[in-house]
Amino acid sequence: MTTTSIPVGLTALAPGVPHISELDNIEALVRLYRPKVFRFAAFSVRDLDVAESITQDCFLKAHNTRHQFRGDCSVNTWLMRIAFNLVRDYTKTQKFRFWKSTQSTAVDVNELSHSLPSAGSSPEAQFLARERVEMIRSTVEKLSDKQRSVFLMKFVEDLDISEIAEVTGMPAQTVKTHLYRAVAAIRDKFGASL
Amino acid sequence: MNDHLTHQEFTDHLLGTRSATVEAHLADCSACSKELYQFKESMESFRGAVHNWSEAPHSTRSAALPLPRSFDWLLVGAMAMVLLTFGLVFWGDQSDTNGTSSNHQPTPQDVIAKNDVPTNNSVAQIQQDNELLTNINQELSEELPAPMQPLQVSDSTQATGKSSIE
Repeated sequence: MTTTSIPVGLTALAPGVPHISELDNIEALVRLYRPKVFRFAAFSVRDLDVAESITQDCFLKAHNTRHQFRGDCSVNTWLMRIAFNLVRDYTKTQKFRFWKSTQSTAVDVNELSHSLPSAGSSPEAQFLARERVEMIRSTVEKLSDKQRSVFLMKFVEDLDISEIAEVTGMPAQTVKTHLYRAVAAIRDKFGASL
Repeated sequence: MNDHLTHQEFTDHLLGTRSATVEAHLADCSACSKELYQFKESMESFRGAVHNWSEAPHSTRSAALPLPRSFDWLLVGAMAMVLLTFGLVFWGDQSDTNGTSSNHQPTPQDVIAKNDVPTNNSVAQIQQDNELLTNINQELSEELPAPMQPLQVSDSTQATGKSSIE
């Protein structure tokens, strides 16, 4: 590949960059990253159909623009950035605002709590864990969009602060501030339940 | 007691930022270490549950989507309104039917309304009316005294079913 074929604003790719082959294989890409993109979208928009649609759009967009991928971040981060932008675009629409006002929830409480890994734990411990999972879920739903996004990226997707900053386009300190507030909300909820 | 971890120290530790003073405090303070442990454990449970949920095949189906909580009430309210409307309409029809089939005496207004011939504004009707008025005018303007006229019924009044003595 020559630098003349690269659109303005994109860096040149060194020959043999491993990410390109990963992006070319769309089936493997979907198989590997689909759950990640889907759960992020589902918790963000709280509508499974829309989350599914966003997930498909995310992979379609990634595949169509794979030649623009510069390789300066991981594929995971790149996909999360696309998903984050799609979610942000959707949450700006009137349709989302209407359904948000009805306080819909994408994740069935029982379904989520029954998805708990329960290897070797007592029934009491499982009950307590279910209560806490439900507490976190309900608190996450009430967070602001930005707080929820950075919270999910950090505590569910295990991205570090710099990766979250890259995905969201926020400064690292702003990401931290959102995380402080999100954690404070959950600590408050835990404190109130004790 | 004021020497527990601040929220910032707590969150920094949670985010992976290690500091010697925080580590030392956690070694001494069972309350802070217990809260931190419980918090981490809860977050791990949440993470595990969300991962399992998203990887399960049923999470992609629309059927798994529960109705919004407030939407339940909207739906119930709408259904109640529809049923109420149908009920009122049906009840109204039934009461009308019962009223006419039983001892309902027709009022004069009902009879008039039933026998009322719809207004016919056709050209023929208007012409017929004009002829009638013209005949009346002619008869009224005749110079012959009324007692001298033979008793007769005019053609125009026969058509309308009215009789006049002239």
